[in-house]
Amino acid sequence: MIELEKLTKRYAGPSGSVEALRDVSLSVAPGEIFGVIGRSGAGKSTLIRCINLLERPTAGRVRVAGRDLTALSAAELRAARREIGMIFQHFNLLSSRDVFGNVALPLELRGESRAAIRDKVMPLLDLVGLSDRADRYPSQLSGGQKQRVGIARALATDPKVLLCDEATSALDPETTDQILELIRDIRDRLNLTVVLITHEMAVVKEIADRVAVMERGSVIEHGATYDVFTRPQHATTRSFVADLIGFNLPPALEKRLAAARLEGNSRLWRLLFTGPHADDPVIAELSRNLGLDLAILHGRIDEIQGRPFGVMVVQARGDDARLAAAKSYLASRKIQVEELNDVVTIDRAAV
Amino acid sequence: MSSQLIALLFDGLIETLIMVAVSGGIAALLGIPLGVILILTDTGGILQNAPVNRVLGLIVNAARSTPFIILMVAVIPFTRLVVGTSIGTAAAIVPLTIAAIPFIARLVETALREVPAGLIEAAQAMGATPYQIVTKVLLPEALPGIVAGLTITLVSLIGYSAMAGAVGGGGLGDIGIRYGYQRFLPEVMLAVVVVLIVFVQGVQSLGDRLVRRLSHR
Repeated sequence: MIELEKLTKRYAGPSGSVEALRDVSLSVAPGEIFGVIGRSGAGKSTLIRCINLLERPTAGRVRVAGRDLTALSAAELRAARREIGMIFQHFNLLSSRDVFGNVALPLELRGESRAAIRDKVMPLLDLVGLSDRADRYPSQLSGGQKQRVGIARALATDPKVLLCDEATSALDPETTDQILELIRDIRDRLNLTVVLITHEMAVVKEIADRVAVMERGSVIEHGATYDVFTRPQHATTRSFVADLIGFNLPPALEKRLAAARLEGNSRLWRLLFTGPHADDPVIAELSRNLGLDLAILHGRIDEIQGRPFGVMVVQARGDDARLAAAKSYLASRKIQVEELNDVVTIDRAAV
Repeated sequence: MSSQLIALLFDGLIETLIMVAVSGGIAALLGIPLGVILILTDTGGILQNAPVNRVLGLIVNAARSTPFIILMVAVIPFTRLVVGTSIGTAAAIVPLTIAAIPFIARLVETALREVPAGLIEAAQAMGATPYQIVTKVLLPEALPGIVAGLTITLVSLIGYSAMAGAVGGGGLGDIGIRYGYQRFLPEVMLAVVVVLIVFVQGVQSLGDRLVRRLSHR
């Protein structure tokens, strides 16, 4: 649905030109929710603005629904933009219009009749749960309600694509969940293609089918959300993912482990439960069948895109043969084992 | 107060009203589009055009830095061309209008600048034309600010119109100078000042009320 080919965007900055995008190529499938995550200044905002050409890339091509937007005339581009809805971090609602008027705006711009506008706007307000607020002004609404108006407005022209520019960054966690729920619901009902940029990994984890991680204008990693979360390749991705999925040891525990000397027949393991065996009673089997003493020091079990996923840090005590047997058992269960003894020492050295 | 004085003040008030209303109206008609053009052509505007912006800005500044009393005399040939005479109420309206246009343009420009850039971006993302952005987003969103600016302009015009006596324009200010000052009739002077204060108060509070009603921020 969306294909970005070798996008580059350069700005003239105060000290020479700044590259906001470097050779970014991505493709988003129809009906997919695609997340783009990065720290501020990573170029994600420029990237999403390039999709509807609010920013014109210095080089590269933008195709939406098979059409090369960069090759269109100004009038053709305006028509094409009506196929692409957009919602914003700060909602960008007109303060001079009530809720109805805001949702009606894109239809007015298209020259629809009053009757046609009414027929279109009311069901949309119903869809986002604001039909009883049609005559309120934005200043009378909460943040979540404002974003609902934004969503209704973005959907007014029946777009195929919805761009979400930090759409939940100004909302509290509970409202964020509700808005994400609504976006997913709309995607399912209307088979919309959604691109959302965010700096919150929780948002990606909640809703995105696939994710791209950006840093300094480049996409450093992309793939299915589950894969990127469970097997982050890049250090930046790792740090994004770490806190959210319990990858990092809590600082206090880390300090304790560093201070305590592990005995020779004791190992510190980080176990990654992914895939089909994530639900298996692995810990129980390890101690029962292999006679291993296991102390669970830290762990988190979670779900990403409806698939279970867990991280557990355990201290395993047993003789070498048992430890080796345990490792091969874990491997057979497709559970990744990482020896942490080294990690702890290295971390201590770094401090 | 004699009935003569009341009649005099009434005529003066009507003349002032005509001068202020007509010049304010025409100036708004020309000044608002000028303010819009200034914003659109400014750096980062949707129709960015540095030469146009600079030339218009220069003209606006030049007109605004000319003292009104000088402007009034300087434009006499133009006034004669437009209304056929350089004396009287109609003749005073021409310099008043010329003085008010750049004033309104700058106030409108300031009001439009207050419209968040995100709204313009949102409209662009919806496929709005520049004309639609102006009529559907910029002007409605800036309307309270524009009305506040027009109120300030009207109050200033009431002040300027007092100088119109210099070209025989009549009005309250003219009465104050001729009767109050030159004929040394302090009660006329006082009456003129009181009427002007009430008039200005009325305009200002009407404007404020309108701004409050229009503003939904």
